[in-house]
Amino acid sequence: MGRHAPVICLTLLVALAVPGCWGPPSSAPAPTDDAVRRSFFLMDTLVEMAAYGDTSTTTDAVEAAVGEMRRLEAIFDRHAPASFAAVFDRRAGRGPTTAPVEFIALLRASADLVNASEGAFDPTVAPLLDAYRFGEDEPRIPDDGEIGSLLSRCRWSAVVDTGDGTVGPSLRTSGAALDLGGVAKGYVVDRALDVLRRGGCSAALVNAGGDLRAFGRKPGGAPFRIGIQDPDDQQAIRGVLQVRDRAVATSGDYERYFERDGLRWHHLLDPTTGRPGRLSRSSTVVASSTMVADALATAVFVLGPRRGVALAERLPDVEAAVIAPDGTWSATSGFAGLLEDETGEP
Amino acid sequence: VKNAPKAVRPLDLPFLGAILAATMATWWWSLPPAGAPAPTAVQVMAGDGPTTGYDLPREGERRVDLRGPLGVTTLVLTPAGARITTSPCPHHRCVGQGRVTRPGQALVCIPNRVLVHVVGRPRLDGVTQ
Repeated sequence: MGRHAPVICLTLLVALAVPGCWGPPSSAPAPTDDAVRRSFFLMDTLVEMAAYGDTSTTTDAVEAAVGEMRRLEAIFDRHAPASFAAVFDRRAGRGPTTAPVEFIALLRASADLVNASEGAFDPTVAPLLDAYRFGEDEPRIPDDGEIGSLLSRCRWSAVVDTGDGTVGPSLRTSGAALDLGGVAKGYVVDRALDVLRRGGCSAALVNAGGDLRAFGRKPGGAPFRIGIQDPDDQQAIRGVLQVRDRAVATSGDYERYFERDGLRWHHLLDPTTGRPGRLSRSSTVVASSTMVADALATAVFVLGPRRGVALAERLPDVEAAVIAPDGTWSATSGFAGLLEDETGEP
Repeated sequence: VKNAPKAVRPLDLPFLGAILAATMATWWWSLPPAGAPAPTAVQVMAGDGPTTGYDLPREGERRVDLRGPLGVTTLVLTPAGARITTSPCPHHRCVGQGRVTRPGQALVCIPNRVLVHVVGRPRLDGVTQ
């Protein structure tokens, strides 16, 4: 043993050193990548931003993007009484008004999306949403008479005047209101991405409560990997999309809801009935902009697997997938190509 | 010096190999499973406060009270992850999110402005929901 002592000592020294050298100390944070990251709450949702590039340039760009999102929130958040969106609703039935250019742009884009979705997406359902009191302490279910009365104020073509170059926009009917929340969030994400791109970032991802958009490739050339939430388990994923220069949005019956007598009453209302859409559990749309993806995710959800997928199939540069109440999966022909395993079903 | 024993003799090699092999095996077995790195810490943002880091305990539970605009959200840290156990929000969706155990996973309470991130390189860049 004596003559082996130097070897054993040397070997034990190496052996003891190996785990310390190769494994991180258990109390140290695990490594993260080189992105500049920001997380913050905006428009009643969590925004997560990750941007890549030269650190100084990217940090400045991220701060500018956050500032732009906060500026737009002050225009579009209808739950903030001082926002222009809230002022616009309060002026319903009182004629045209002067509006910020961003509001007019969103209004006109929404008009196109209402038409493209054949009315399945319609922001004029706001009075109906308010009647259910989603998210409040005591939500309620409006009766059929109340729903019928409210539906008379909930049709875009009858209620909204987007104005023109000389006359501002208006809501023609007193008591009408717009829920631009979904598309506005998407619009704000798109604007933030523009700021990051113009600010010199090489790649970025902005995610506002699951409505997200990516541009560029991460260092090393990898695309962004986006999980699609399982409707039945908030911590589980049904599939992974590989995304580059695309936007993704999902609408699900698990986002804003309450339950009565075993039935889930969620906020994705069918504009033709005033009741929650019952044909889908969730819908995911991939498009060129977050605003379009967001609006179409709502429309596809309401239309359900058959009509929703058919709608997305007709639209250029749009892919969609729907999970039905029985858990089955329907998707456009190009959706499988965006999934990591390309099996067509996560 | 000419008569000094050699540091390594041919018969030492089996000892060397055996000890190194045992060490590598121990190190390998101590690693978390592939694709599921063990969580070590969380980063927490509450209300308008700064982001704060908390190491997960090596054993037992650690309770952290997070103050947001509606009141106190209680976060419980364990060696395996974190979960929200109580919150003053209307529908307690944050409590229903269960436990987060993987780097990049998050717990969110929108009404009380609470965000809890498991520290580390996330498996995904984002989740659409």
